[in-house]
Amino acid sequence: MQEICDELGKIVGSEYVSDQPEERYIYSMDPGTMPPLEPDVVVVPNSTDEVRQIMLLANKHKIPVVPLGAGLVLSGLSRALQGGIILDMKRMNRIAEVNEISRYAVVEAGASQGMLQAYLKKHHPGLKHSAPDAPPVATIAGNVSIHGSGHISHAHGFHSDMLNGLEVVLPTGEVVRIGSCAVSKYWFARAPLPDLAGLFLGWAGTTGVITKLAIKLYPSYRFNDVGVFVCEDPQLVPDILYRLSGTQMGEDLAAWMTPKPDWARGFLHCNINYGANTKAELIWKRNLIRASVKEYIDKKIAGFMPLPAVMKQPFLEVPGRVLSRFADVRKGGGFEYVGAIMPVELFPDAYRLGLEIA
Amino acid sequence: MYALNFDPQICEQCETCDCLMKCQYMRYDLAEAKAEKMNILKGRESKVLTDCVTCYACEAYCPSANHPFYQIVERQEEKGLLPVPSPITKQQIIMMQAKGTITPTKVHSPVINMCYFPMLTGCVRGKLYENASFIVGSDIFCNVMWLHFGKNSVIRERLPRMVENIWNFYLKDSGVDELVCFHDECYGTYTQLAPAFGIEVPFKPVHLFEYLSQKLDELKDQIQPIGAKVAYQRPCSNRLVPQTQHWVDDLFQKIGVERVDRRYDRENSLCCGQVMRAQQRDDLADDVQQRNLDDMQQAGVAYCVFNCPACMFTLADEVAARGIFPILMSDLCQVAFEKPNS
Repeated sequence: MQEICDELGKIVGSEYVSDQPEERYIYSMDPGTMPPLEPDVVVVPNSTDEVRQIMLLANKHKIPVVPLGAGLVLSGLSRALQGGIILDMKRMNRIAEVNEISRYAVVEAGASQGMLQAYLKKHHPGLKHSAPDAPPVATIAGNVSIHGSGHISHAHGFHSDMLNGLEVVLPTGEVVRIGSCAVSKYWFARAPLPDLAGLFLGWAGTTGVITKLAIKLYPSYRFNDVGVFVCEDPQLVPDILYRLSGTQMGEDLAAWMTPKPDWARGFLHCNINYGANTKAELIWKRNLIRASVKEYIDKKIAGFMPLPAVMKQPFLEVPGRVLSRFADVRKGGGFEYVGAIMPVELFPDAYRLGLEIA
Repeated sequence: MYALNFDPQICEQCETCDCLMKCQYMRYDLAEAKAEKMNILKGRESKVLTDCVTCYACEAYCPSANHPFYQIVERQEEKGLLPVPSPITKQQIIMMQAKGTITPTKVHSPVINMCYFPMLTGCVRGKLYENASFIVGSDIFCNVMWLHFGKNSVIRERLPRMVENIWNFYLKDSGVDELVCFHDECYGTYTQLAPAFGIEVPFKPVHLFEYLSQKLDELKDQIQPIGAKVAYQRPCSNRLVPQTQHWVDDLFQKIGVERVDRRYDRENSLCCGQVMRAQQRDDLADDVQQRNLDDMQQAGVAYCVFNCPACMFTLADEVAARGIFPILMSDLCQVAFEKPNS
């Protein structure tokens, strides 16, 4: 392994390679509850070419490689199951391009949600990306590659659906580009080319190392609001979600229940977030949303919480501060994720099962 | 227990039916108003029970102090005609219940009752509150808000315990028998609502504005007139104690601000709109808020002055968006003691 470390040091610089017990311990675990598994060495590359050279070396010596973003996944995906190299992408954190007219951003794999969000707010305030409720250090590439979702997913799908293109280093060391970026300087679409992105999405980095990607950007509205629709019967939730989503007004739609605080326990809440360019448009959208669930309101069995502006702020934050703190193990948070992706009509059953599990 | 003190004969013989005729949100001619009033008295269906926005104003309109609004709330609850959807009502009842965390604490006069507004205890500061102590928490919450939810039963259940808590945990052993109520709601609860339901109050409530007026008199040599135009957002709860309105003008005069003449002030004040939103009547809330804010803006005011924290939470953003500074009366009085350019 010392020879491998030396070779890696020639590629990235010796200060960006470590086989020391401290690094191997830190990189042995993620914030989940899976048992730690140490790598043999940790490497932090700074360019696609460095990643290419590392993969060539690993391939030659048949050394497993685990790419790592911010390491916030909870299910052990970033652990070195068979030792080998952990490839920490954090130095490759550049925002390469923001194309405002075509609404996309090209970022390196180590670029974080928070970095892009801050960059857009400063330089392109009319645009935003879909961010998950995770600590801002979570990487865009990591989240896209596991089909993550976020604050605009209700309107536009999983974050993998928002992908315009990929640059990937294959296990053989070849560098491939997928999407329009393969045939032009623009990263605006995956179609109508044969779409090979599926070979790298949902594979947890086992089929190649993503070094760069382009994601769609969306209008950042000047005026934003949220409605929190409350009912007591989980059987009503699928229809409520159907109606609210049917307005096509919401950017984000989330159903939740929490046992704490006490006032929330046993009540089902459906948050719908929406934005507009003018106040009049915002009110128009609000009225459409409310009209969609009028039947429940008229029966007095459900209604929108009367939240003054100051109390809406936690629901309008992106990422949600409470949730992202809740998820941040390094700051005292952390949780086991009993998540399920399912058709809407199965919500009541899933809710009841969730209560049993909890 | 704690039956509502009202005389149905007074209502039956009333010629003017002011409670409904003066309503700002429901429109009846006199014959209709009397008919609806009889429906309420006799426990029959009445559109008043569903149309009422619960602004409390009819409590002030009734020349006989016969509690017309509390009658409406009684009937709403009897008939299950809750103004606010059931899940939200239930959540609020849980949210605002006493947490049982109160402990015996010595206090000294003046004691400022902050009710269940812990976020506003910072208002109790400076010369105006020198040597004051304050009490705050869920265990002393006045509970008058249930009038908006058609829940007199919750008031009956919880308010007597709140009164006992204030007396037994704070005032009695401290040798204090006066309580300055920061909010109109609390003052209205202990001086008007409690007697209406036969709930005894062993301490003397003092309206915040009366307290501030006295303090301003004591400190008058230190007052630096603010010299601004202001609008006052009269809260619904002041309709329970309209006799305290003169303190508003008194304070404004002492701190050197001009309460502008505007359409939606004093007897014509408009609800802040938040209860209408709770009732899911957004169109009405939008209309009421717009008229109110347009009125303030056209009057060219620098400040919109609030007594009620809930009104302020509701309207502050909209007020500020129109270039008007939202401020509690207590804080505006503090401004009169600030040095120039501070």
